[in-house]
Amino acid sequence: MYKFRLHGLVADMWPLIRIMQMTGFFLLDYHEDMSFGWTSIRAGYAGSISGLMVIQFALIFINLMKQSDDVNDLTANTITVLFFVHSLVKFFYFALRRGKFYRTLATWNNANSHPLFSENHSRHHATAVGSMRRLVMYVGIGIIISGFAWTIITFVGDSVHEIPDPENANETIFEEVPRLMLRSWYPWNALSGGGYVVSFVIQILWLFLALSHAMMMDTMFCCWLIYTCQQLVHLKEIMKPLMELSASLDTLVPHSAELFRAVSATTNNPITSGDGDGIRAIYSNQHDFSNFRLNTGALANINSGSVGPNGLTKKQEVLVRSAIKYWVERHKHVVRFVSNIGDTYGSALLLHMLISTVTLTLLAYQATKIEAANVYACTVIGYLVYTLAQVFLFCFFGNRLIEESSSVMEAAYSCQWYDGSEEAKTFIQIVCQQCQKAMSISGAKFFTVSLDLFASVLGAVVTYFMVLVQLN
Amino acid sequence: MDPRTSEVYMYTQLKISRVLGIWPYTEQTMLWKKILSKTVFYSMLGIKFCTLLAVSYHIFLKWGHLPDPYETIVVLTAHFNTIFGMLYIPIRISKFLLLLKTMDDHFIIPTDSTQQHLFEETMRSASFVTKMFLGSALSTGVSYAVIPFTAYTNGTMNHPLPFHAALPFDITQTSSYWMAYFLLEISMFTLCINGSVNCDFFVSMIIKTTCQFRFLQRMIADIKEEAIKRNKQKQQDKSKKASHTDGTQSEISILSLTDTNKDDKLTTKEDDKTHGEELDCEFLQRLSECVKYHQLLLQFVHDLKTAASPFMLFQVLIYVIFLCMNVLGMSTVPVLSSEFANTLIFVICVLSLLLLLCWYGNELTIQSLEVAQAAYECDWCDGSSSAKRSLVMIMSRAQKPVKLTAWKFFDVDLKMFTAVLRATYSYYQVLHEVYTE
Repeated sequence: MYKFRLHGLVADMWPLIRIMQMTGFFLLDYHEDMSFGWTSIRAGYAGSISGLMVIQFALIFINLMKQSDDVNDLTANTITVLFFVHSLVKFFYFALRRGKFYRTLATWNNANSHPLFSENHSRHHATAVGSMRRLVMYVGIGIIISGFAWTIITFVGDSVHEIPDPENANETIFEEVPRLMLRSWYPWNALSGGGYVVSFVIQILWLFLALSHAMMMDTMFCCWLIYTCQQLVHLKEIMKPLMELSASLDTLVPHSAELFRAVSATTNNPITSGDGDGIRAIYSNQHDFSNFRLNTGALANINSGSVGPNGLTKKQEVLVRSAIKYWVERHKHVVRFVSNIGDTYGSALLLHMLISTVTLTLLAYQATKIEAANVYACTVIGYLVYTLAQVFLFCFFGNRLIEESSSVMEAAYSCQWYDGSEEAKTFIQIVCQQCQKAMSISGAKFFTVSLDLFASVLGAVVTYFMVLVQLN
Repeated sequence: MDPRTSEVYMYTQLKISRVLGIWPYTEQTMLWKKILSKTVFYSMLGIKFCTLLAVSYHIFLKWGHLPDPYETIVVLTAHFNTIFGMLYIPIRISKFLLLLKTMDDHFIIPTDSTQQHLFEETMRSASFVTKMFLGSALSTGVSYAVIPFTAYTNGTMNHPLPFHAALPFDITQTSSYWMAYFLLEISMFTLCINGSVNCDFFVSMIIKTTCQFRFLQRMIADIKEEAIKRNKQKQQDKSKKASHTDGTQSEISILSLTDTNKDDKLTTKEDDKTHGEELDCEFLQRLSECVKYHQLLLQFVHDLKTAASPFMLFQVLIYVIFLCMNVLGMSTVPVLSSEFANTLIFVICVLSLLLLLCWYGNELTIQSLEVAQAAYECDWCDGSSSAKRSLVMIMSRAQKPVKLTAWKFFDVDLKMFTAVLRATYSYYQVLHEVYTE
C-alpha cells in the first residue's frame, strides 16, 4: 500500500502544489489516495481542463484568421494569441516533462543534517518557506486583480470594431462585436441572450485558468530559487562557527553561543544520507554531546583520547571533520538541485523569452498608435506591464541566485580562517576555488537568467518603439 | 585631541555637507552653526519646491506648445535629481555614519615615507575631483544667470528669466521681475551645487578606499621585510632584558659559553632553526594582520555599495536624460548663439562628472585586483607551507574584483561610460528624426 508522506520540498510548497492541482495541471502525484479510481478521476479532470483551454484557444485563433484583413485587428488579435500561447505552452510543457518536475521536487527528500547546525538550518528553512508562501500569495493576488481588471475594462467604452463599409469601399463603419473579454469566434450567436451568457462564463473561467497556468509555473521556479538562496545563506552563516570550532586548539570553548543552543533529542532526528557513520557512531548518546554544551569555559574530558596534530582530541577532530563534511555535502546537494532546476525549467524559459520578444515587438508597434488616454491606451499599457512583469519575476530571482552563490566565496574568506587548523584552511581554500564561479540558471544554454536579461529586454522594447515611431 | 581618521580623509566633503545642512554636526559645535545650516537646508529645499511648482504650472499652462521643451525637461529633471539627492543622505544617515565610523576605526593614516606620498597623491586627486564638481556646478549656474541678458540684448525677449517658469505674479513690473529673476537664479545655483555635492561625497569616498587598497598592497608586498624587522626588534628586546637581569650573573654566562664550545655547531643550527621558526611566526602574524585588513576593506566596500548604489543608478539615469535633452536642444538652435553655449557648457559638465564617477569606480576595481599581484610579489619562496597556503587564499579572493554597482543593474566603470555615450547618441538620433521637421 502506497504510504503518502508529506516531506521535503513538496511539504514546503504544498499550497502551490494544491493550487496547481486545482487549476488542472497534470500533477497527479502527491495525493493520499492513489487508487486507480481516484487517479483516473483526477486525470480526467486535468484532461477536460486541457481540452477547454485548447478549444477556446483554437476559437480565438479562428477569430484571428477571420479578422485578418484589417491590420489593427490583426495586430490586436495576434498579441492576444501570443499572450495566451504562454499558458498553453507552460501547461503542456509540464504535462510532457512531469518526470523531471517530480525529480526536482524530490531532491530535498534526503537531506543530510548535523546536530551542531540544525538550529541554524531550521531557522533558514522556516524563512524560505515563509518567503515562498508570501510569493505565492502575491502572485495569486496579482492574477486575481489582473483578471478582474480585464473583465472590468471590457465593460468600459464601446464594444465595436471598424470594418470597411459594404456600400462604400472608402469609408468604414462600426460593427458591433460581443462585449466579451477576448475576441473569439463561437458557433452560436454570442451577441445577446443565452449565447452571450454561456460565452461570458466560458471566457471568465478560461481567463483565470490561463493566467494561473502561466504564472504558477513561473512561481514554482521562483520558489525553488528562494529555497536555494536560503540554503546558501545557511551555508554562509555556519562558516564562521565552523572555523571557530576548528580553531579551538586550547581548552576554551568557542564563544559562538548559537552553536550550542539546546538540541532537543526528540525532534530534529537527522536523516543521514549514507554518511550515517561519523558523529552518530562515536557519540552514542546525547550525554556525550553535552560535553560541548558547557559554556563555563572548560571543555571537559579532553584527556580522554589522544591529542591529535592540531592539539584537538580525537573526538574534537572527528567533530570538526564531520562538520566540514556536512558543509561540503550540503553545498554539493545545492549544486545538484540548481542543475536539476536548470534541466527542468531551462527550455520553458527559452520558449517564454522567444514568445515574449515577439509579443513585446508587436506591443511596441501598438504603443506608437496611442493618441489619448482611452481604453486602447489602457489595454496596451496593461499588456506591456504584465508581460514585462512576467519576465522581471524570474529574472529577479535568477539574479538573486547568482548573487548569493558568488558571495559564498566572500563569506568563506571573511571568517577567521587564519586562526583555524590546517584542515580548515585547506577546506576554505577548496571552497574559495570552487565558489569563484557563480551558479546560474540558463535558458537552455542560450542566455543566463539575470537582471541583465531584463535590462536588455527593456532596452530592446524602447529601441523598437523608437524605430517604429520613426516609421510611422 | 587628534582628529578622527574620517575627518582627516573627508575633511572638505564633510565641511561642505555640514554647511549645506546635509550632514549633522558633532555635539561640540556651537548652536548657531547648527541652526544656520538647518536654515540653509530647509530654505533651499523650500525654494526648490516653489520653483518646481512654477515650472509644473508653466508646463500645464502651455501644454502642447511649450516654447522650449528640452530646456523645461532638463530643468524638471534637475529639480527631481536635486531633491532626491538632498533627501538621500539625511534619510540614510545612520548607514553613512556607520561607514564613517568604520573609516575611523580601520582606515590607515600613514606615518612612514613610502605610504605618505601615496596618501598625498590621493588627497590631491580627491581635491581635484571636488574642485571639478564645484567648478562645473558654479559655471553652469553662472551661465544660466548670464544667458538671459544676452537674449535681452538681442531683443528677442523682454523679460528673460534663467529658465521658463510661470510665476503667480506679474513679472512685467521691474521690481517683481528682479524678484522672480533672483528667485529662479538662486534656485538654479542650488540645483547645480546640491546636485554635485552628493556625487562628490561618494566619489571622494571611493578615492579614499582606493588609497587604502594601495596601502594594503604595500603591506602585503613587504610582509617579509616587516617580519624580519619585527623579529630583529624582538631579539633586541630580549637581549636588552637579558643584559639587564643577567648583569650579576655575567660570570656564570661566560663560564657556560666556554663550556659549550664543543657543541657550537649544534647550537648554531638550533639557533638558526628557532630563528627561522620565529621568523615564520612573525610572517604568519603579519600575514593575518594583512588578511584582517583585507577583510575589513572588503566589508567596507560592501557597505558602501549597499548605501550608495540606488543613488548611483538614479544619478546615471538622470545624466542620460540630461545629455539626451541637451544635445537635442543644441541641435535645434543655431550654432554660436548664446543658448548653444549654455547647453554646451551643461553637456561638458555632465560628461566630465560622469567620467569622474566611472573613472574612480574603475580605479577601485583595478586596485582590488592588484592585491593579488602584490601577494605574488612578496618574498614567499622561503616561507612555510602554511604561509604559502594563506597567500593562495588571499590571491584567490583578490582575483575576484570589487565592483561598485548601480543597484544590481550596471557596474560603475568605464564600460558603463561608453554604454551611456552610445545610448545617448542613439536616443538623440531617434528623437531628432521624430521631433524635428
